[in-house]
Amino acid sequence: MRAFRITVMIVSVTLISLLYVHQQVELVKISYAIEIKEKALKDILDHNEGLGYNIDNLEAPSRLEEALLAQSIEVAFPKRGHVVRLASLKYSSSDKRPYIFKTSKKNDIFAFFDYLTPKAEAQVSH
Amino acid sequence: MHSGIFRARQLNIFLFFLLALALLLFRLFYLQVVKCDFYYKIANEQHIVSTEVQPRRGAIFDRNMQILAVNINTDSVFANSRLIKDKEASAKTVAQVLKLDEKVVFDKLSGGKGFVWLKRKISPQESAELKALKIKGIEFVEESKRVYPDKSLACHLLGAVNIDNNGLEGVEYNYNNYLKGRSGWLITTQDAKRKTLESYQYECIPPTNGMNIVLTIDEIIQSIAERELYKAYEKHNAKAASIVVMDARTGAILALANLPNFDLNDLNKRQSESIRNRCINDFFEPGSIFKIVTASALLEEGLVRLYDKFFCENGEYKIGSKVLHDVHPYGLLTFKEVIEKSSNIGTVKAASLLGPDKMYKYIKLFGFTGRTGIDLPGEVVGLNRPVEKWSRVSMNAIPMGQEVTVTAMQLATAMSVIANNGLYVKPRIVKEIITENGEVIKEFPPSIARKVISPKTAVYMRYILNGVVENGTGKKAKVDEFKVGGKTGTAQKIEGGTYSHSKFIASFIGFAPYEKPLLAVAVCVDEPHPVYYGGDVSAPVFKSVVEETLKYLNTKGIKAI
Repeated sequence: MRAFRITVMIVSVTLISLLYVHQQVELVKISYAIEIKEKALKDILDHNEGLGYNIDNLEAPSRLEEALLAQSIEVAFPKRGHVVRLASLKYSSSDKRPYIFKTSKKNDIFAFFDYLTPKAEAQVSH
Repeated sequence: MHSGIFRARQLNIFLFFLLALALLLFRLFYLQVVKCDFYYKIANEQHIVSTEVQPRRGAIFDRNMQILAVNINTDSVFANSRLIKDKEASAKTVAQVLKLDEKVVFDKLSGGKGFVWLKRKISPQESAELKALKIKGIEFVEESKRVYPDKSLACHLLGAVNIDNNGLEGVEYNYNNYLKGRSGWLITTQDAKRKTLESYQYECIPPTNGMNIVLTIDEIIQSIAERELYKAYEKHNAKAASIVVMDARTGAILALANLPNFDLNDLNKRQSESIRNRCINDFFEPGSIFKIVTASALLEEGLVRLYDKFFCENGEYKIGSKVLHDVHPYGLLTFKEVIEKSSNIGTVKAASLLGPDKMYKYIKLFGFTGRTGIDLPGEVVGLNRPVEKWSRVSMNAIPMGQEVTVTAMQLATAMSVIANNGLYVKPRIVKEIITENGEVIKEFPPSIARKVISPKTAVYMRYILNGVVENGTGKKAKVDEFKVGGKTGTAQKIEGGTYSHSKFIASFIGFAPYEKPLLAVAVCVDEPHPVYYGGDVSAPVFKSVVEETLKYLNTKGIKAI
């Protein structure tokens, strides 16, 4: 009976030790995996930054002017009266994204039918 | 009998293993307990590393949040020369890819050092090419590089940074403390191959990235100003040229440019004469543009009226031993015409009513005796002596812009006084300092320093300056679509202690539009030839710049015209 208990104890300790070692090995493996992912993320972000810089470079006024002149396109600012300014659209003051305009359904008497038929709806991605 | 021997042998073997186990346990106890601290320290030194995490230098934006300066990550190459076997071949390859001198690279690789820089902040193409070669001992470390998408645009204003991203000139230097940020620390575990184990991160003090600076300049207006200035610089074979475009109401600098300039992304190629921010670093005798100070003083003090008449001596006026000349001979001119036609004789005669003390008072009030206080490094003060040090002939020279020196920035600010109903507004280049998330840390609101002249005098001055453009020396500054005002200046440079007859500074200062001034502009062209009059060289630059700028502002919803 005592031998059995000792055996169980030894087996338990061994299993717990193996589990601990396995856990540590997994941690190291995960670390390597995280490192690879982080490097990939960093590379992508760096690449994105580089591309952003390229866009800024391409949009530089002097470069645009050079490019237009090379194609014999001369751009001039509009003269007075050529600029027509549209009245700004109203949007909810609570909406923190002023570029997303809310459509009003209050006056639409047929809006009720919108609930009956499925409609595709654009989602704003965050 | 046999079983007894067998048992004894069994016991011996058991005792042997027991002893071996005891020895191992003892050794283990010795290493783990007795020498614990010693080995723990060694192991920690190998596994746990603390790394300095560099902050990201803040970006610089124009007033419409267009990026003017930003950081991107690039590789820097170093060599561990002890690991490189074929040094000659490696040197040849590396030199070829990095466009370096082969001998210099070979010397570095032969030095036997464990770390030697080969080239810092290389291009992505160079990095990819070199990495593909997989040369043992050639290693890479990532560094942040300052880049400027617009290359030479606003180069004197933005300044430059050194290889360690510390500001050297311009805004980069003046606001270095805001831009550079604070380093952080990361304490992590690494394996035998020096790979970081993210799961064993002990402590992390994150770096504080630099603040972003939002300037008052407008990328488009800056571009317009640089383009038009360059046209005049080339056309008139000038030595140098400067332009300042200022919002007269707020003192915000909308554009500031100098020629020759340089590419901010390639500082090694810049010439010494292109480094200076001439708008604030160089002073010169202003010549006739200084007559705005004399005229303002005379009108403010009520000593002359617009239509008071002065006899201009038909172009030659002897004062003591000296003879004063006008470019064109004039007879009787009204005070308005004296300024319009830039008559030196008429101006000096009118200024005699003023006297030195009052003349100096207005020189000081217009800001010519001190720095404008613009937040850029290296601004100089002109050489403007106090009245006690004036000579007997000073009152014949100073009213027409001789014996005084000014900077282009001072001129633009002085013109903004007239445009701004007599108020001196301190010029400023930074609009605000913001965090990475756009939170405003510090704002730089307009700062009105003092009242220089009354609004009534300012209105008279604008009327006279409009006359300069409509009927006088500044006709080439005339814009078809709206009225403007300004003053021309052609100053002789001093060469060998006397006034040169071949070297001039052609300048024009003006405001636009006439009815409700928004812009104050100063254009200075150094040593144009063969044409050298301010009205011919600098006035057309003013015209093009204000014409396009006001149209541009109109498209932005700012009702300027």
